[in-house]
Amino acid sequence: MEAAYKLLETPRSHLRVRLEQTDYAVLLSYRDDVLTGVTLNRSGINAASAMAVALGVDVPAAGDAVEVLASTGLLYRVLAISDLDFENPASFDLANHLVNEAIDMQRSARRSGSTSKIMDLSELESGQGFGPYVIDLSQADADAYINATGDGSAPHDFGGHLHPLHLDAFVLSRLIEEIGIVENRIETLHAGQQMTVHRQVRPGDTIIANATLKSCSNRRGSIWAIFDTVFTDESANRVATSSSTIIMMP
Amino acid sequence: MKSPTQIGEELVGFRRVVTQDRVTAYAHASGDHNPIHLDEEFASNTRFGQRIAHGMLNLAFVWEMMSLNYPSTWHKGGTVKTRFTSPVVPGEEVIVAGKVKRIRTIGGEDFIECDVAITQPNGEKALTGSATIPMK
Repeated sequence: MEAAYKLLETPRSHLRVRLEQTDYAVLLSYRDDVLTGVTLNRSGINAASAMAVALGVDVPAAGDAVEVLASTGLLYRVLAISDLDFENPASFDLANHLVNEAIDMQRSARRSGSTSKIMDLSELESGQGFGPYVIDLSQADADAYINATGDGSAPHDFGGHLHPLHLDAFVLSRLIEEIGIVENRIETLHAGQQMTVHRQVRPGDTIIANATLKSCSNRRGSIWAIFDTVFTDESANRVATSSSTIIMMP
Repeated sequence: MKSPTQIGEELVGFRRVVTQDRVTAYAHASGDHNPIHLDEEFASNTRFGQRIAHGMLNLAFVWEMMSLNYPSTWHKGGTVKTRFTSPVVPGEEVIVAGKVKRIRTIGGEDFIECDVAITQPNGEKALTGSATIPMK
């Protein structure tokens, strides 16, 4: 598990891992490294089942594999499960505890839009919903965004509010991660953008974004997708709306 | 500064240099780590042949211009609609500009509609579009 421990050294929210069943084992891999594996004996089958539940997927059939985005925290628990000896009855209690923690992490990550199964582009369908993404940007986040976009000598500070586009940029970054553009290194082009702001937002405000794939079409091998996003505050009042046109060239 | 309200009146624009450092900082700040913006080798195999700036970074410049020109109304119903027509590559200094195009009445409310654009050093438009600002 040397590769696994090295991977866990740097906390990350999105690691694309692969769970596969071979003739003799269930293996968890990241890129070319096998992180852990369990042999298909009685103990290993129990471990594989618990690992899959913790990752939020089913154990793949023999010869199949499934890919998942997971945080290092979630992976830590999956690795711990794989190390348990299920011949020892006490392991079931421990596994149950680890699985429950992992499920809580999955739920929490889904709320913030940071963990999900990686989507195949062919799975994109008009009307499909994405999110909700919970946006909770700090003053430091806001400053970083304004400094990156602004004039270094005299950045416009937006009156202490968030740069409104920061909200949209946050959602776009989650969308492209969820669709697998970064992990799959898909060439993309951001073709157009529309945004309307109804009120300004301060750092620390919680904003919820719900995105919908308004339309999706295949043109000469490229996928043209238009995502509409509605941003609301915790009282469900509309803060902003946006529309993003993305061309993906798989 | 008086907000431009007369048809044909130009907005106060600005120039901004888009360095790779800025693009990288934007990637970290926005969370958009698409390799086309950051990975030189990946970008060299794309249709652009090199890394390009985020479209949203260019749009942020337009947003800043609108906020500077219409500080009291832009964030109360302002709308921007743009197309990213040409990629900005790191090292370029772009010109961010706008001009009042017309006054429109929508649902009994008056809006100022501006043409907005970002122009690259070679004269090409990297971004074109419109911005609509409530009069009050």
